[in-house]
Amino acid sequence: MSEFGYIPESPEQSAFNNKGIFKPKDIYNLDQADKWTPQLGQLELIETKTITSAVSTLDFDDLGSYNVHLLTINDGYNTSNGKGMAIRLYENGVLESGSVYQLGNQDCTPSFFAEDRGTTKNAFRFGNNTSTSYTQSNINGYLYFYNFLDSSKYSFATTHFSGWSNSNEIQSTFGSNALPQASTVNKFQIMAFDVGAFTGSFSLFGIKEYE
Amino acid sequence: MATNLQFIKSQSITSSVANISITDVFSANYNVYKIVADITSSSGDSDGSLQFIDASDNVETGSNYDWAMLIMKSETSFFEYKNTGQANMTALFHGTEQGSANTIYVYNPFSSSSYTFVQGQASGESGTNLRGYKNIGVFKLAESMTGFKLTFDVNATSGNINVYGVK
Repeated sequence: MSEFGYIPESPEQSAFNNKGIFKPKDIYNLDQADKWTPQLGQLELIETKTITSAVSTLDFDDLGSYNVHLLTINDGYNTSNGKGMAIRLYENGVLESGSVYQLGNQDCTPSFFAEDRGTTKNAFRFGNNTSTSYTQSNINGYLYFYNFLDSSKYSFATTHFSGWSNSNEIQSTFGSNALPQASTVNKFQIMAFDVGAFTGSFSLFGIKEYE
Repeated sequence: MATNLQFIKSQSITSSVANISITDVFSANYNVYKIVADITSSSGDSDGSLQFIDASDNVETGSNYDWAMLIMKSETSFFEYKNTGQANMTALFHGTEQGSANTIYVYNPFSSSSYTFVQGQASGESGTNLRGYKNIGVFKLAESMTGFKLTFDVNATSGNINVYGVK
């Protein structure tokens, strides 16, 4: 019997190119081999972590095998007034805490627009100026991560957030971050920016690709 | 009924090219599409300008594209880049020698009764400095499009362009 139960020979099978009549076992085997046309979508949840008692750092150490990841943040909150959050990357398991990160972020509020940029930052940034004075203050948004697991490429992120600021108004920030070092980033750490601790719900997804 | 991000097509760049066409990706199955692209250039920055393609494989080259973007530079002031009535959506995609990270959403390309809108965001490394991009654009013809063409001002040498439908 040939692979996947065909007699005498199985046609070449791949995702989005399945031929023949399939029994449940065939489908199971093809799915396990990543050769079955998927029906459930390509945004795949890796893990959700919900922090209700404030912590200073939170690690995500399972990135799967994706080229592109999506991290969503819901109701993020830094316990220190006027602060936000940040992310540092682990290169082959070693936390990069040097001033080697770059960012270009645009802050938008009803009162002002401002540029937040730099070539010698010590972390990716997201969400800032949250307030301990306003209970509705929080950070909501997303980051896309690119090339983390590719040792030959720099690591990039694109971000967009909104929340209530310590100026008692909405604040939104979008922009880009980079770790301009070709390395394998196999973990990342969410941290309170500068000082404090944080709470929130964080969901990491992988975006599935096919050749 | 599956609901999610649904893979439609992947196209790789494996040699030095000035343009690439990705056809038969927009259909009646989805209203919203997500394009994720990693593009490496042969030298320095490469802007990938978009033109839509119809079902007869005609590239839409008329002056029907409006667009605007904010270019966010890590080392100096940000820059607004915008235009109307152009023959393409200039620099919607980006590549650099160090690769790049593009996520572009396309709205209603297959509809023959509405304009096609896009919004996107990208990152890349120009020399030793970060470049971030936030884009919007519109194709001002209420006609059905099924694909798109990217033309690079500096050749792209490698990369992947993945198209997904958003259910």
